[in-house]
Amino acid sequence: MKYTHGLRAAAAAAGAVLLLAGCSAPSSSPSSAAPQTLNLSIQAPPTNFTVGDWSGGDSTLFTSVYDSILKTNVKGEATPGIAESWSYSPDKLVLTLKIRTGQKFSDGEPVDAAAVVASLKQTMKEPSYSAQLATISDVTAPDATTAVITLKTPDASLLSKLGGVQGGVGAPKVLTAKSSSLDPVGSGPYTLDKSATTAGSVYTLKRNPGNWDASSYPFETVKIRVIQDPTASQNALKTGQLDFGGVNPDQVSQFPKSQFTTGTSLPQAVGAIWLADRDGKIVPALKDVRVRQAINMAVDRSSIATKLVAGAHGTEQLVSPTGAAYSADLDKTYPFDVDGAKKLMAEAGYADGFSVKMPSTVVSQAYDATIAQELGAIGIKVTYDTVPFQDFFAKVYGGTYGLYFMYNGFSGDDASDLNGSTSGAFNPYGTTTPELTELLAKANAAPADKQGAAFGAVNKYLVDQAWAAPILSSTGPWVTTSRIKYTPPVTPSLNLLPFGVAASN
Amino acid sequence: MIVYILRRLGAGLVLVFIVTAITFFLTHAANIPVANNILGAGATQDQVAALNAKLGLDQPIIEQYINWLVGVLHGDLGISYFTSEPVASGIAARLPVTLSVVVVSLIFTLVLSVILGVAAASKRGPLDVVLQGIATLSFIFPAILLGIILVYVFAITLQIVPAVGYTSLAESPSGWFASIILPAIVLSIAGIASLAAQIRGSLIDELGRDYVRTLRSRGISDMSILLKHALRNASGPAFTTFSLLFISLFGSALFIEKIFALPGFGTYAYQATIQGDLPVMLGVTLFSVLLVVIVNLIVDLVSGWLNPKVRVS
Repeated sequence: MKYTHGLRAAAAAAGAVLLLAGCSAPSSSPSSAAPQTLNLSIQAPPTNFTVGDWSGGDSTLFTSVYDSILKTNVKGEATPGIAESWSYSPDKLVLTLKIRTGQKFSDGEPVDAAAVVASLKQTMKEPSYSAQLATISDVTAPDATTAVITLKTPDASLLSKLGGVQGGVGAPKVLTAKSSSLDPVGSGPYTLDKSATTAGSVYTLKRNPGNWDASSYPFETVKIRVIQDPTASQNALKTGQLDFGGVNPDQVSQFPKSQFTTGTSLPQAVGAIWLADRDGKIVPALKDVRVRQAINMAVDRSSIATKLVAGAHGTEQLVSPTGAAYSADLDKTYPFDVDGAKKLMAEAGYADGFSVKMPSTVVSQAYDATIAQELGAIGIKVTYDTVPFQDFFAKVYGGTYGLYFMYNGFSGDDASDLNGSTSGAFNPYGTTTPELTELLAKANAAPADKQGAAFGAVNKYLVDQAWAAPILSSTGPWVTTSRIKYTPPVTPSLNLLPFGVAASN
Repeated sequence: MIVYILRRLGAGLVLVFIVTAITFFLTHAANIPVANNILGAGATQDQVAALNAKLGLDQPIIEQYINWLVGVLHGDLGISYFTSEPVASGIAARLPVTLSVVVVSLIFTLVLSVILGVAAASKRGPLDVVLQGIATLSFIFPAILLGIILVYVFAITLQIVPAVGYTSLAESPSGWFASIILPAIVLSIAGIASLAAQIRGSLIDELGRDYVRTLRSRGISDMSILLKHALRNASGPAFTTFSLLFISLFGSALFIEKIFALPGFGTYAYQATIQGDLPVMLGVTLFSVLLVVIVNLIVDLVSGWLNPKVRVS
């Protein structure tokens, strides 16, 4: 009897070896012909697909299944979406959208102005986006092909928002239904293939040929895996299981040009010490602009950008170097000058420095020691609280910290970047000044051709007032399999428009 | 026997109750800001309070626990706060992944450790030293390093297996095997050492007993004595080690799932713990305890079958 068991085990092992020998190479080898499937990865799974409930981070899945009111192209421009055209009133307080006809949700219901209104109102209610859409006072649908958005104050970043997750439109019948969390009903270029999807692990999208812009999405299937480990992602990229990924500069050479295409992304985010307590409620010293300026002068941006982060550039501004509001001259406002910073501290009455607590998160860990050392050089004694990332924003909003290091992703337009940097998590205490309020109001109301200069003035004010201590803007190499044509977008991880089929296929 | 099984199952249910209760109350004591985590940075206190009410997190803790228990008794393990997926479906979707790796790993472990253990015990001398050396090496060799080497050689260089991901058995048997073979080998490496050592030690003891000398005097072949008699008697302790190994491998699956990006049970549990996804945490705890109880029961029954003395005691 025991022999039988042993033989079976041996036979199973032998069979296993034979089976392994017969295994074919991974189906998506980098050298395959024209791809029908695009394989991508995300680091964290979405919480759910319900309109307004989409969590932050990579938005590709959401914008694939839900068409948005407008679209954001790879240059960061607002282009037609469900709304085929739009116009502002002269005072920029009313936005009229002309809704495209003939579109249908995946349940067969028509996409009309009522659906646009219902979706936008739903998103406005939800905590994740209510602050971003707070300038909207009302949304109405005078007829089936017209939607009207009325604003409390002009908002230059509105079109950009309508071209993102905030502009996602779902079928009204199931907009808030429990089923929508895992079974989205949208009219986007793809539908979620539930049979090939395991929530939290793998999401499979099938092309929707009925979408008005289907020709911009050449892949029949898009498979998006949740891969948290960066090494696993890179291994998958090397074997062709993934078609796209970001890598470190020193890893680019591991991807031969015969099989892969590489390039460098546009600036993706700004990493800054956010001097949030500008009213001095927790850290009184931060109320004094000289202290904030001293902090800016104490930071050795060049050293941090080159030694701590591959592919980063030092910056003193909160806007993207690709935007019109950016000024190269402003990056010379606070040269690294410890003696100068000490002098400013003394002038502000803090010659002996002061002590502060900062949160140490997974995002800040690489910088914590350097920041503590550099601020320590001008007398600011930093101690860190270790904070799990998921608790970070709750603690910031709870008024625990006066300053903290965090990245803010560039959104693709100056208006969004600067409105975002002066609100929400990057201004948790709601600090402002009459000058800033006026500058922002002017910029948001400015005609399109003058917005660059107007937001440039906002940017200059923020730099002069040391609103934050920006340190670096990050870029990084990307790699695709040679079958894929990738156009680096101004707004990364927003939609599938950057992905096409390479001409060689 | 039936009374014995029922008694063990009853004790197992008490264990399930105690462990899940401890998990529940410890999680609450950790005070994870679940609503803040779900709503993100822009949430106001009112919105957080509303979501807490919606999730039932504003109720007294005892009431929350009773509600969960009642749900479990009705077959409802709740819904994940973070993926909106029913917990039972989540476990069902991820369990085949982890079980595939663990079971194949156990087969490797069993086959190789029996071969190594029997050869070392029966031949002794230099072969024993060499085999023990191999077993010790496999015990001290970092499994994660082995994983990296195997991925580099077989997935990246030779491209005969995928580097990440899982293919279900129903979708493609060869794809399934290719997707789990490397994780299974990595997972089995330490187990082979401990099980082979256990088999070797037990077998040497058995081969020194009187009944072996008696069998030899009757002219029964060494091979027959070794495999038919000594190995059976030596298999009791080895089987206990084997069963513990199953539970241990199940627990170790997390690191292997991360290396190979497998959507398995370990990753599911880990992610839930990081986020404070209480329904999932309780679901995986419940299932894990049940698994331990069932495996232990099976071990006791099989041990009794292998050795009548155990049955009597």
